[in-house]
Amino acid sequence: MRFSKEDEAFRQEVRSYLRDNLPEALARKVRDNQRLTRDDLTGWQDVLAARNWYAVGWPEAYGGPGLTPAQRYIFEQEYGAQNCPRPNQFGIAMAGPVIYTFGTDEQKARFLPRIRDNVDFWCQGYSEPGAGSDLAALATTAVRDGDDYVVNGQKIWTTWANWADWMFCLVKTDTKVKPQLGISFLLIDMRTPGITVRPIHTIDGELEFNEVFLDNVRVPVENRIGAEGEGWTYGKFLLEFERFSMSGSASSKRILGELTDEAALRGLGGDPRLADRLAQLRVELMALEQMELDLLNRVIGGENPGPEASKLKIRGTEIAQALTSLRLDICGPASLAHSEAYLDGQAEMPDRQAAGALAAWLNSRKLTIWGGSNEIQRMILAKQLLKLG
Amino acid sequence: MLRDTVARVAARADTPDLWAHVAELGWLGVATDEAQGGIGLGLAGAAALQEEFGRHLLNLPYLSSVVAAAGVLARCTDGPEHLEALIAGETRIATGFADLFGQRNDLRIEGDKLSGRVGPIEALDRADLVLITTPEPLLLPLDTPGLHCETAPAIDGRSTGMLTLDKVTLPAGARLAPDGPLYGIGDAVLVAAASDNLGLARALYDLTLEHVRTRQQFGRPIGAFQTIQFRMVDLWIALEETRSLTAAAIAATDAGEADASDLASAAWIRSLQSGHRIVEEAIQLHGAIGMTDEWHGAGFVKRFLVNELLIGPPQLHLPRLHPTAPR
Repeated sequence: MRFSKEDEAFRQEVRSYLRDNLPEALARKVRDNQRLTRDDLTGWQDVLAARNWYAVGWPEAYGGPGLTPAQRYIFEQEYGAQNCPRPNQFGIAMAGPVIYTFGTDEQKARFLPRIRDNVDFWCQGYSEPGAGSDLAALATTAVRDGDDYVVNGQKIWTTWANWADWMFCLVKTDTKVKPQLGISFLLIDMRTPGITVRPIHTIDGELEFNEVFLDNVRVPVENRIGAEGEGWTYGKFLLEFERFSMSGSASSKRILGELTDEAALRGLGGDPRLADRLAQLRVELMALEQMELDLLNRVIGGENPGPEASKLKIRGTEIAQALTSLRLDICGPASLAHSEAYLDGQAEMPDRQAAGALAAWLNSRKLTIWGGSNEIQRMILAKQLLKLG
Repeated sequence: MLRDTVARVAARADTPDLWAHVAELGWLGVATDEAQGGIGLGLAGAAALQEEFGRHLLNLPYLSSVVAAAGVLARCTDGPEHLEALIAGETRIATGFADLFGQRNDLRIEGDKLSGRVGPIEALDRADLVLITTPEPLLLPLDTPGLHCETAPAIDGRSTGMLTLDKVTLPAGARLAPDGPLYGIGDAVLVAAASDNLGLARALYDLTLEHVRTRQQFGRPIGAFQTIQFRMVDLWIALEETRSLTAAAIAATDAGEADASDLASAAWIRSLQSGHRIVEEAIQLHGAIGMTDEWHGAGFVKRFLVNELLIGPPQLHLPRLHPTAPR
């Protein structure tokens, strides 16, 4: 696909801005699979916000840069090509779009600038112990009491709740109707009394998951987005947003390049079986990229690709996981030496690539689970596109 | 337009003058520039036809006699005369893909004699001339002394053959002089072959989707079962991968982009991997009828397997995408 001269100029602009402003120490952490601190992440998001590229997908009318679909794609490609940390998406790609699409003018004025400028850190209160893929089965209730809702229940797997200022949350405001009809969309200040956050270590030792207990938490009615009982519609709207941006093709391409170099450095450059695996992943990445460009062309043509974007999430996450397996195989037994201090960025290891390889493999398991598990994506495609069942 | 006519031709494919008929339709010059007597639609035109051949199971040695042969002749200073006869359907040329993409051959030159084996070659038994795509391409009459053909019908009704050269003295004019490197021909062949796989895979996928929507067991369509649904989704994704990659490879090859060769190899490799999945699942999901020769899908399955054997499996083509491969 050919981009216009203006778009290519934009590509250069993004490339140099990221290259000139990405701190080397941070890039090394990302490349070598070390954990990021809240300051690492928000510091980098400040850099993006300074150029108004944090809320990069927002239209101009709501304070965003108003990029065209082609520029938006180019931005993602350039972003993934360098070792930039994946920014917190919950404010910019989820709360923000719901607020500017369904919120009141007051809500827009109150929340949007603080999301765009990286002032507030957001998390997502969707999953519950009894409601994962079957999200409509959620049991957290919100009962109207004067100008407040009183919220009781429990959220789980809440990424970054331990760092968040705000949580957007799906709650039951009506337990008597069909599950999908009794759900509302609330914005909850994480400092409200009655909220307890308990971190859960993920299998690789990272702290990003949390349980969030809500015990008589009073949330002003003015923090409800849209109509009471319409929350399911907004939640679903978000999931489509999420799928389109989840292929990770650009960062997978970068990682494949890094692994190719790594294999050569370790004297494996002449191994024909390894060369076949690298070539095979290139083929799959090229297919992913072309599917993405085809969808982009349809978006540019004014089409809404709808559920088809699920194919990008499915293939993109499968490829990203395969790359973590390849990294382990290239690094081999050197990956055995385990150091929590290294992963936390508090100590050095002689072989940095190998030192993060197991953690990266383990952490990548989340890719096929979150954002609507790959099984949910297949259900959506089977029902909506293939018209089966 | 071009695509629509393929279904009509396929419906009367058993006419003895099929080659003359498609020459009249202009198919033999689709990709050739207008200045050289063709229609000038480039690889996009040839690949569109080839996709329809796969979809309608039309057996024409198009890859060998047109995509490869017309492509090579158009780039050779002494090619125009042969090219004109080829486009008119008067001379039929079968192509042996020696040196194009590591195709199996052991051609060797000893003094001024040529020996070795080249193949497999499609429709060798109906050719007047054979083209061997070494860097300096060779065009030989099939009655050249020392040239032996062993031909055999393939399972899908096509004819294939191996060419043996036993100390062949090259006749005058056999060495063609290309005015540039020929690797673009290999790309075009791979892309057209991927298009054929795409056409037949799409037909099989459609057939299978229709089957799981309508076939009733346990009181409901088998497509209502999640295990079938998920497999159908994976087939759809496999088809999408081939479709997107092939389209990109066609555009890149026609435009002479730097990544054309990579895309062409990737399109062919993925069309095989996707194709295997679709072919095998199509049989499995159809159940016992999928094991029969009267099943509508049988022809697509056989054509796919023959395509892979003619152009070579992923293992043969992956080295072109190795990190150390020359670019």
